[in-house]
Amino acid sequence: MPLKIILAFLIRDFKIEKAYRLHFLVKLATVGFQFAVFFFLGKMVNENYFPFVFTGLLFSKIFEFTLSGITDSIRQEQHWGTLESLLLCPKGHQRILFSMFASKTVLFFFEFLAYILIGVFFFGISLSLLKIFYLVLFWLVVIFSFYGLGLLNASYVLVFKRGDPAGWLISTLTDLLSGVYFPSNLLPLWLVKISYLLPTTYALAFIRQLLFDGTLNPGYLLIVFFSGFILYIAGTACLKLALNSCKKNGTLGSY
Amino acid sequence: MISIKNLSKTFGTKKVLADINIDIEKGAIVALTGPNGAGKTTLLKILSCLILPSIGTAEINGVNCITNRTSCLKNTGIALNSEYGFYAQLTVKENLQFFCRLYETDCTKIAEMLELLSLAEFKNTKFLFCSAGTKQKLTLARALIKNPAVILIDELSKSLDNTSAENIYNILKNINSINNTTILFVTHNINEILNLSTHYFILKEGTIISEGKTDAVKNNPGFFNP
Repeated sequence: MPLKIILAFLIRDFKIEKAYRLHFLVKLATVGFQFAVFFFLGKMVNENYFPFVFTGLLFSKIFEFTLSGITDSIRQEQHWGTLESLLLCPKGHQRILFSMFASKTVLFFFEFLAYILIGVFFFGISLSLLKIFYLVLFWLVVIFSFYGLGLLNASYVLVFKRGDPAGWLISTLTDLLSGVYFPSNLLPLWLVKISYLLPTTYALAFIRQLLFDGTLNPGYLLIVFFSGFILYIAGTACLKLALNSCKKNGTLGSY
Repeated sequence: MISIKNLSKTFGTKKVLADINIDIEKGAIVALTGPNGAGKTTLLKILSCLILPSIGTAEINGVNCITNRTSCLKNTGIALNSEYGFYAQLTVKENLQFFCRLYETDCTKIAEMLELLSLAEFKNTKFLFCSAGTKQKLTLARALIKNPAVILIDELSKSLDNTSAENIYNILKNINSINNTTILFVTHNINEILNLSTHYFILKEGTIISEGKTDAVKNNPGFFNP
């Protein structure tokens, strides 16, 4: 674990975030408003809907972060003109990018906790300390399992620069098919079959069963870990190719 | 110390460097000059492992920069574009601290480095508010703080006033004479070539059109305007 490098990024990121305090508050407010929409929608549907969608939204936030975390970091460094300076560090590229992501992950953890607290204090979500602990573990599982997907997304952005349609598509499909806003079995049968192919469906089913039914389904967790492993191998290979392509074209620092 | 063999670089259909061969001995201070678009920065970026050559090899201290990036960068201090490359919201000192931690070099030398490059009075100034000259010095400080065996510098005295430039030349000469550090710098400034370098290479349209000892052409500065 490149702990020293992660710590370097963490100190840097914390100092930079301090300069943009309002940004964090605006982000929390946006999520609060999003929760509010579903809270009132839940009043129209039934009382179980908001806890259901709250879990879905939390998952969606973690997934979105994992998917775009590395991409956003790379873009930000390119925008600031600092990516080349970072890559002059005598450490492996993957190690530098992982450290960048790990630092952002630590900061995101506090954001994630704030989301849970907003749900508990403003929208009456009932969560025991044990369930909050489960959610934190779930946060870790999702981030590590879908890190490879983030690498794939970052590879796309490094090579094609503009836009992030791959990330957007994956994110939207996940929201639609994996049961973020509604149970997947409400979908037409052919879409239900597709949803079974997505590891995100199992991740969400796992946490909902754990939180609402108190049952642990290790089979679902295995599917998530296994797909995470495959995604990681694919992601690291693609990132290596993408970095080489940028170095050949001399476009590492451009966006 | 720096060895470039049969190196060419093509971007798309544009040949930027063609069959470059350079050998720089340990302890030499070498100026790389030539008109805009000659390929100087591309060559420096290849040595910095930021661009891959199309063919050929580049070695620093016997280490191949193309196949062994991390070892190559370990003992190389690199000062590229000074306008960017630092964090606007961090101060001069915070920026240096970050890169020291990242490069895993001794952070206790920061104060000494700030003093050496006359940056101490700006240590708490955010990079955003630094002058171009301060930014240039900071770029150099980041390269020097590693105490590297080789220093690569792009546009050394860009944005520096004459006094600061002279000061930097003296610092580099000092480092060179104490540690026998090899220095390769890209420049358009004839004064800089004459005052600082021991050897020169002139690059034009991707090929080396002239090379030699600076002393041999010292009385003919017009020589550097190909």
